[in-house]
Amino acid sequence: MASKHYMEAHEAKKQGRPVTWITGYDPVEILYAMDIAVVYPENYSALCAVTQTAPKFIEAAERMGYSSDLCSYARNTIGTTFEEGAPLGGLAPPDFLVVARKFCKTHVKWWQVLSRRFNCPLFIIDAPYVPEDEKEYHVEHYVSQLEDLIAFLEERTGRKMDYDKLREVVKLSDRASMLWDEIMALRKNSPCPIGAADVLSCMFAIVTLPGTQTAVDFYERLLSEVKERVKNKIGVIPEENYRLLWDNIVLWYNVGLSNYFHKYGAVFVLEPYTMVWSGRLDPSNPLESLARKYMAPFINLKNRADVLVELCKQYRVDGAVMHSNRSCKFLSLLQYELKDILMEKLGIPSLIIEADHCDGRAYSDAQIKMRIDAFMEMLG
Amino acid sequence: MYTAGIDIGALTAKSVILEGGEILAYTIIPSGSNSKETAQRVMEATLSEAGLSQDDVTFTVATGYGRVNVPFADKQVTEISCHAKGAYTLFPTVRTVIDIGGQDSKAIKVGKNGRVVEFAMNDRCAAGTGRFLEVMAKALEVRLEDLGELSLKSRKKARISSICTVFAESEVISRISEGTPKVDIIAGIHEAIANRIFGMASRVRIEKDLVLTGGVAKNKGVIKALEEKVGFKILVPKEPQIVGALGAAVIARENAEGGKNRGR
Amino acid sequence: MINVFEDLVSNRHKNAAEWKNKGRKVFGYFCTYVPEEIIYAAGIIPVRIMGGSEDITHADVHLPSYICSFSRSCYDLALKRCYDYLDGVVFPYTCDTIVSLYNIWKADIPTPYVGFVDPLCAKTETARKYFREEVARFKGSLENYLGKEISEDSLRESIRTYNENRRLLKKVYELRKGPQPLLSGVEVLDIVRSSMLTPKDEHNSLLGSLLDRISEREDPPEPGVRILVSGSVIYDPEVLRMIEDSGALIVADDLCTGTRYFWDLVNTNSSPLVGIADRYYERIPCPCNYPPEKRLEHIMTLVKDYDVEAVIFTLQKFCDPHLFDMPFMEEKLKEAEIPSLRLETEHVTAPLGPLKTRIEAFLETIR
Repeated sequence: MASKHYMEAHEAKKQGRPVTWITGYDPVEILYAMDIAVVYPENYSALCAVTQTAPKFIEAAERMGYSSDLCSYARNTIGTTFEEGAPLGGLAPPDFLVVARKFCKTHVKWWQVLSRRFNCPLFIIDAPYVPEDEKEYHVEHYVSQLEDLIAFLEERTGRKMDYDKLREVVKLSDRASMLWDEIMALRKNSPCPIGAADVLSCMFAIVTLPGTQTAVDFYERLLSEVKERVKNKIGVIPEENYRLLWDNIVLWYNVGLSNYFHKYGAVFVLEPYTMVWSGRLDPSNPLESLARKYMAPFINLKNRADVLVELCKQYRVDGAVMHSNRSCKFLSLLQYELKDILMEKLGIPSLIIEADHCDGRAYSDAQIKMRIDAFMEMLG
Repeated sequence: MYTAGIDIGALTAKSVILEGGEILAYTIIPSGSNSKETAQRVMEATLSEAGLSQDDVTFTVATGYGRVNVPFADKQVTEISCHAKGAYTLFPTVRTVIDIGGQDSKAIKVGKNGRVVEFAMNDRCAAGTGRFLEVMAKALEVRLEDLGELSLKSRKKARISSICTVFAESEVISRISEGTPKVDIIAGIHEAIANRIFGMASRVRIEKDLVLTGGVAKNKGVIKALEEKVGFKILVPKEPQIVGALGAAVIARENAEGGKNRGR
Repeated sequence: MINVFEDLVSNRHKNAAEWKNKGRKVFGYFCTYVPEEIIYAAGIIPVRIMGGSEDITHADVHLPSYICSFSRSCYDLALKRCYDYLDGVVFPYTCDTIVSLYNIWKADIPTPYVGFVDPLCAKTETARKYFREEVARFKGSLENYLGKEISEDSLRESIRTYNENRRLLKKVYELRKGPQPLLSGVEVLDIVRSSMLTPKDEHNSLLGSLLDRISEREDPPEPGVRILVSGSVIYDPEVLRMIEDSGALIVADDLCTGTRYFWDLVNTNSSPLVGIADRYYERIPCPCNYPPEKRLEHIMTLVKDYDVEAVIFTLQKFCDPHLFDMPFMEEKLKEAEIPSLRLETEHVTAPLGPLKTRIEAFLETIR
């Protein structure tokens, strides 16, 4: 599914259809409604990490002067725009760029670099930061920006937005989210029917294809499979002793790490990062519901902590493994606070391991495994 | 009943044999490049001192980085759990353990019965470990074992950056050439390592009683510098290097006695 | 006449305690995107939160190691109770680290008022409108905290005082043009930083005295290779001192603790709140919220006006926004045949030796 998606973008380029690059948590439904081909460099960098091709591109970016302390997704992508041999023929060059400042400013700086690289215009959306509770004016501002985005896209593509099509896309996206939520909810069962590694390989559609029929079809099939497993009490491992949560992005160059926990009878039943991608929408109110969806997750410490505590209760979590990700300050910096909160409110211990999600050089297998062993002994 | 604990570290290998709850014999030797062979050697030395053979030992637990290479071990347990248990055996009032080894350092919060409640380790870097002191001793041309005593002689410690061993070394060399008295530089080095260790250990929220283990615990200067940071007296075992192996041997006894779950 | 500025910086905590004793309120702020004029108009003294030179010992419990030492140091000082005197603290969404620090500070440090301002990255009319509303909301939140209104007159007065400070600082910078600059980079750093740590009206009179008497100065700095320093917050002057001890003289800068702070005035033709909002919206670019083209323009203007021979970037290790801009900046400066050096610094500029070597080697290549 993923390769097809990237190849389609190349096709679009050849056919003269517009191509854009966006980050995770940008309002992609708007772009799909206007028949714009979309690719996600972050997702693509994950692919590079999984196929162990990322180091070459990361090093290329570093040779160009991009510090090794910058986000490894960014270094990888920038590298692929200059070096030969990127998987799947690289990413089809963009005609314009769209980015939302939602998860981090790094996204914006990175997209600025890309707009210079491809000499094309950049549209920035600010998901206004919500310091306490979300207010109407936050949502209104996002909606105004969506209107600006539509105007920008209409100008760039020479086409007008078809609002009926948008409502259709929003409806499909809502359905995909509903299915994803149902699948994730089934992980509350014991034994947990689908673990971390499988969730990772099934994430692609909800992240990059919400609003498409492909995503809906895929999750309908997945849902029935997972329901079967629950019915037959088939779990990730035969004997489940510990139910764990994983916080932050995974180690894409070592997706099998979750399997290391199986020898302790431990499975991952909950990952806040994979769960944020769904967001229910109202087709009769497309712009406002898109705004709410794309402003929703991880808004501040209190919100993130409250959501996490609630999820830990529902999923009956015994311990937390938090990836302190050198490339992702936004998600990592609050982990020490979250660790304390989980212990205070629920008595759940957490292990914080320092690594990187895309740059394997920051990962030390022996050190990490030792910490995991010690943590599991502690839970014992 | 005899049980054994064996701790294969990167620099030294230790083993302890317990008779019931008492230490019967122990050995510390430098690690060779072959963990399996080192394990054999250190175990044999302790057995011989105890006047026993391998068959006399009911249960053996292996710990340390080389723990997977001890074929005669009945079980492998991490140094974290073993150090907690070992420190608890020696000092039942322990709440925090700081272990400073040759290559890494760790802090452990200890709960009931020597169980691990929480732990932290130095991340990827030698600055809070024995290696740091080794490098500095060489740069200063003094013996590693004399560092502690010398640091206590200083009246005015020099300021040494604590961020990186290599950078600190070049600072030390500059200071030497500037004519700063050696004892002051040494005191500064102890301040630096204490800072680093304190920062790492604070992640488990240091509480009395604090037990210091590992080879570096023999250094009076580090003890003093750390006591200044935590604000109370630190407990140090007579033989701080064997605490991991001791803990392993105690866990071995617990396993032999009743098939209880590990660590309880 | 110059030492007074350095003293204001070194004694900042003591001074704050004294203002508190006299019944004044003191607010700390992070970063030059906070609309200080509003705080000042409310009768509160705004002071910039800065790192110190003490070892960072407590911050590691709450923060990982891969963030700038500036933020770790600030938080470390807060944990060590150095900032207990603050009645309030205001955080802008400068960067991902600062926004996280906002959350952590709010959870762990008992400062009575913790405020937040979002400067926005998009530069559109929609964004401008939102930012004006954001500034108005900030004023409302201060009024709530104080239990009284901040009048339009007090805003106008505050704007006047702040604009005056900016004009005076610009005049101070003028003293660095010409073959014998009258102030060194280290001295100017103290002058600008002290402005962030002192009530503006007091600072204005100190600047006035300085400008009156500076031409009598008997010990002007030794002229050297004319350098422009570009970076973010310099909270420890050691790097600048090292540069100036190596045969260079810093004559201009693109720093948060430099021109970025005061270069733009508030336009007094609009209503006070709109004027303030627009000023912070359109001000000299900082990498956190802008792409680098405008920042490059600012640097090139300074290079021309101050006869700069070379640019030294003093970056904090782990500072993402600045680091993303670097390849572009270096490439463009190279095209313009202006030599540049990139230095990455950590807390208290450890290690000193290698840093000095780089600086000296670089300067050797210039003349």
